[in-house]
Amino acid sequence: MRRAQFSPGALYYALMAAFLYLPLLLLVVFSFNDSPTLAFPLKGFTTRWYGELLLAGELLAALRNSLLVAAGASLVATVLGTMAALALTRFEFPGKGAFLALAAMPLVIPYVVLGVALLIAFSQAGIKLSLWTVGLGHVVVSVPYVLLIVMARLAGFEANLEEAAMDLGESYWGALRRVTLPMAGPALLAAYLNAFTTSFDEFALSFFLTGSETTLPIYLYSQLRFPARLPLVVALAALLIVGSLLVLLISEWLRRLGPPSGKEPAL
Amino acid sequence: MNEYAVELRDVVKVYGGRRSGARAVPAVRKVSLAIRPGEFFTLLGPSGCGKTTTLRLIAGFEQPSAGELLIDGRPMQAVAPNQRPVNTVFQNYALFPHLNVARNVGFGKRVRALPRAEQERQVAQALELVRLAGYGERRTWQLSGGQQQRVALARALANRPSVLLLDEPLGALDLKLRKQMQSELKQLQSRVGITFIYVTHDQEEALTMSDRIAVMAEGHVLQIGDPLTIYEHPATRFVAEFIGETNLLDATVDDLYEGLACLRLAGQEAQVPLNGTPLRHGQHVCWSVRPERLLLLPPEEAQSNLLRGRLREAVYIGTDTRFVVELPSGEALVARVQNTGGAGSRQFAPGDEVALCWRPEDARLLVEERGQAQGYELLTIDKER
Repeated sequence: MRRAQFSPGALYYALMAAFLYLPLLLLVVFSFNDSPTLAFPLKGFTTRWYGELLLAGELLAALRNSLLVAAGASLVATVLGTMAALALTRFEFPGKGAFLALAAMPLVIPYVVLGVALLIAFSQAGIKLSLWTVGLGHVVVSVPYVLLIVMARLAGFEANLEEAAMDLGESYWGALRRVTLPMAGPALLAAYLNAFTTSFDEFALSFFLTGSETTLPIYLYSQLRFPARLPLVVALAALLIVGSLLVLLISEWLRRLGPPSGKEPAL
Repeated sequence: MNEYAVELRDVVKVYGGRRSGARAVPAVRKVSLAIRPGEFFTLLGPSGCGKTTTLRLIAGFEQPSAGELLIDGRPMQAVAPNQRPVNTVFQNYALFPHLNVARNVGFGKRVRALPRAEQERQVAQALELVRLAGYGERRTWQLSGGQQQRVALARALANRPSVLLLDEPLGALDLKLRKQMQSELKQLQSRVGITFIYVTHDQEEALTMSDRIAVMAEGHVLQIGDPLTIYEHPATRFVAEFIGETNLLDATVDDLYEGLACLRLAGQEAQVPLNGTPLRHGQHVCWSVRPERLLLLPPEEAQSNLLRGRLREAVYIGTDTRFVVELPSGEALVARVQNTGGAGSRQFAPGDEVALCWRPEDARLLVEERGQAQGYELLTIDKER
């Protein structure tokens, strides 16, 4: 029998957690360090960088751009992905397998490749690069996540709930509105938040597709050339970590929310 | 009022085929049914016989590949499920888990068109009908299987359909609950006076509840009739075997007289009523006799219309004893004898020589199913028509 004091499992877990989170922790620590250089030893505690953050106009503009692009792109991605998920789980049509494979393709294509491809497409079509083109790119990479999340939920309850709704007098659209979408609601929100975070921290695509206005990741990258601005960037990054963590928690909570699906056994 | 609540005329349903690229699979082949208003009509058959497909055709979830479907005398071609005067009780109940019991029951279009107070009154009424008064605020997944079943029933009935379709609604319940729900359903049907079309593979359930039964196999209707006709006068070998237990025997025609056929089998003779079946001398036929219609006697007491054999097995099953008797030819017959006790009861042991007797009118000549190409529908008989 293994001794209770030492468990290899705990050690493995500690190693993994340290590897993942130590850099993030470091970031948070430096954001409160009273020195413009990011190096040990620490000089002292300050919230100065957080204060200066509020006055950095360009940085706040980039943050606002990122939030707008993420909000819009995830909305479009959620609508498109949900429609595709409905098609794949509720209808039979020729080439269904190929369609699923195609829809999941952006998951495996390198973003750099996708960025170049979209850049060529936009310039061929004569579309000027702007936040809109960045948003479109983000829709492309977010749709597969939405598709997979919503499909999992739709597959989890019986299609004959929709038949039951139609049997009771609803049209197809009525059944969708009164049964399918309410039941898939938490999954839709989770998918939206997932798409939001995907868009918000996306760099490679944005780098190719951005116009005169930039998103936050691009702006942060450009600021690395100015050492004096570094502590500001660190403070912002620390805030984003907390924000992302909150979004993740909400999304996971939503995914588990909602009544049990029809396939689970009755009491 | 129309003569028939639901009428199917030569309805065919083929799945797959050109559009989907899959092999064409016929699920329903030329089915004709005429179901009267207020009737408790059962589609009975083994799984894959096309009974559920027939129900889904009536509900409108499937479109017939050929043939005509009428509900209340109106052709139903191109009428969507939500426009048909029918409601379905699904096999898995299909209750909406995101709504409570009252909202499930009040889901139907007809109920929702009413003013709020009237809606609440009718929902309460429907719940009372299925003895679930006061359960409105519960979540559906907090209910037992039997209760969920009743919510599904109330939800369908609240919509006041002219025909209620039930797809093996009791299949998921345990035996005791199923028996109880059978009689409840039957009572409910006579109370609300709605036509019920009931799908089941359980022959006992069909016999207990139905006004008429259509026995189906491989997409065909083999026989339509009331339970008595189906059980006592099975039209085909399949029906005789599927409904209850029976002894099927092969024989050759030895003689014909006064409406009786004298059959020869295993070197012995058996008398079977002709019932109008045209037979000739020397023809091979199949006949049957139900185990409970056979009498087991010591050989010296039996006189006429008997088969002699040796008792192979006697199994005591409480109300009855089940005897298996082997004929000299090796064929085995089953006899069920009620354990009434007293003077009538006899003791037999395996190995005893015994005789099986029956009244000639209890035996049935059976038509062999012909090949599918010729179609079973030729054999369909409806005693009441």
